[in-house]
Amino acid sequence: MLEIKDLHKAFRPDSNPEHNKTVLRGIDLTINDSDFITVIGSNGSGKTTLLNVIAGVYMPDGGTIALDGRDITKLPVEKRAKFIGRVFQDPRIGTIADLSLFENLSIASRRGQKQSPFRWALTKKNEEAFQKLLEPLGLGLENRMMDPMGSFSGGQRQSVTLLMAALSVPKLLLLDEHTAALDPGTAKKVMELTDTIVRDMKVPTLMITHNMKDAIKYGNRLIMMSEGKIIFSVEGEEKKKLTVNDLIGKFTSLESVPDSAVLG
Amino acid sequence: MITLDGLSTLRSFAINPWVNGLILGIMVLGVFLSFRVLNIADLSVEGVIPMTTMLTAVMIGADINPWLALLISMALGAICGVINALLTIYLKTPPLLSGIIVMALTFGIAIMINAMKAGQASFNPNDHLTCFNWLRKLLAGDSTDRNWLFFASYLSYIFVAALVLAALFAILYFFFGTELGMSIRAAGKNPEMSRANGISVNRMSIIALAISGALIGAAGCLYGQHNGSGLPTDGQGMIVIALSSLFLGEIIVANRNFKRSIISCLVGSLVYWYVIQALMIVDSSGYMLSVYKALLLVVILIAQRFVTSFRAKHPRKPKKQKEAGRVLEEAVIPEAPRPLTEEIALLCLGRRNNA
Ligand SMILES: Nc1ncnc2c1ncn2[C@@H]1O[C@H](COP(=O)(O)OP(=O)(O)O)[C@@H](O)[C@H]1O
Ligand SMILES: [Mg+2]
Repeated sequence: MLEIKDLHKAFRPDSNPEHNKTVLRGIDLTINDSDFITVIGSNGSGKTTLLNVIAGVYMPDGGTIALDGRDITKLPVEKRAKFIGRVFQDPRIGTIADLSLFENLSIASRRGQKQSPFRWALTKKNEEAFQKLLEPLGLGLENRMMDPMGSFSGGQRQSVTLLMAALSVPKLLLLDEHTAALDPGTAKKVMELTDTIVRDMKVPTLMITHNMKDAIKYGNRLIMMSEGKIIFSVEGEEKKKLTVNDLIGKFTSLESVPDSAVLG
Repeated sequence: MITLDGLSTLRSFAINPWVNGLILGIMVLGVFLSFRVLNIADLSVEGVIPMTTMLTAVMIGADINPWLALLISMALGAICGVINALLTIYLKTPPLLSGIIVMALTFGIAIMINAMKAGQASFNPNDHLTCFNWLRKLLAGDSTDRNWLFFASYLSYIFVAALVLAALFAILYFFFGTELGMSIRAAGKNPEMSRANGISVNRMSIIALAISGALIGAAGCLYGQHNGSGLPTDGQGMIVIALSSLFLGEIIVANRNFKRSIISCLVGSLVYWYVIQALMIVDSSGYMLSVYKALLLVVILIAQRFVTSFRAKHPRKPKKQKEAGRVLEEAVIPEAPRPLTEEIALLCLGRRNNA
């Protein structure tokens, strides 16, 4: 269970306090172990920043983050990686283009495990296990273990990144518009894969999406962010009844319609 | 008709590039680590080389075991690499600047040694044991044939340099195949993703720059032992030599994986010195050499652009393309995908992590 209390974050580009930009203004959020939460909000509302603060990329100015009762507010990214899996919006960031698929998966599988730095990185046993893991995707990736990640398509990369994030079964999965850079058909498939992984592995998940339909369709809870605050939260049966128009209504009442609301 | 002069030209053409190419090939490996693995333009090589050649000249002159001198030079180079990394990590100096600071520092040490030795940091290889001359003595025996002595000494340079290089090459190859080595490569290529996967990017860059420094130190030491002297100017143009060799190697050997990358460093280094030797035959005056080296680097960079775009247009067909050809866009994820069960994950990856 992740508990976020009164999280604040401002960016200070220089020493001039007038340039300060307050991005998070008191976020309170509890993510239960069975939660799959979708996050929507107009551009610049602080969604990505929230994920980055949870992951430890930025230190918050105020507030606390606790995982299973342990305060992790000050823990650096690489230490948090032990229990947090991430998928980025940009398919190029989630994997290492110059390293092979096998190497990428190996790196992810070591996350949070006991380190044995001088052990050979690529082992036969791992190869077979990874191939078993890749097979169900139906992408033929299991036959391309030695190909550099850079030679794969965006959708393939995001699928692999998803698998990587879910390997070593994390305590929290953070997804930041991870289908936004994909064409609609591929995006749909990656979303379905996401749903499968989240459910099968029972990983608590926080997923930012620009797609309102996805936000409603997937997960058990939906939150909406605006100007650094969570302004709307709905779960369970109530969420299932939600329509895209309801959400657009929420946005228009804020007078900040995001592009994606118009585009559907 | 081959004149005596022609013969010695031929001889130097056959031999010199190997000596330079192998000894300085070790330096190219070091620069490859900073420049390609970590994506840092590290200029410290221009200072570390003269520092280690001069120290080596002093150490050999003082009859310190040449292999010990090699280890000491490597350790010093490694320390320079660590300082370089720490400057970037803790003082947040841009990597380029950290490298320049270390370069200035090590160059300063070279000048210091030079002053202390009154410009005489040199030794007579006939009187002091080096990494090379034990072999020459072994080969030459009591022979007084000038040609055979000459041959023996060059054979010893090439053999020993190749031996050291092969050892370092093997160590590098195996090291970068380990989990730690893989993490270093990951951290250099994609720090953001590496952190998200629990890799301490700072620690990786310290280790990588230490190894890079050790390699450069080894090159400096062997270079000094080969020259029989050390001069503060020994490092001049070394970064141009290293980068030219590196790029040239990448043009010749497409570096699809780490092994090919390190092979390309050596190939590049050897070919580079052959080109330099050829230029020296065309124009033996010598004072134009630095200009040639600069122009050569420009030519190499231009060639690199062509080769890169050619390779991008003509990618190598992936193996087993038939089965693997299906890309996600066409692939059909079955209606009910076979569940990616926790069991499968656990099978390969072990337990759910405990914080
Ligand atoms: N590293 C940063 N430095 C300065 N400003 C930033 C940084 N990251 C985000 N911001 C600013 O914070 C605001 C919120 O950004 P973000 O969290 O990315 O919004 P969202 O993901 O909801 O679109 C934006 O105005 C953005 O310019
Ligand atoms: Mg965002």
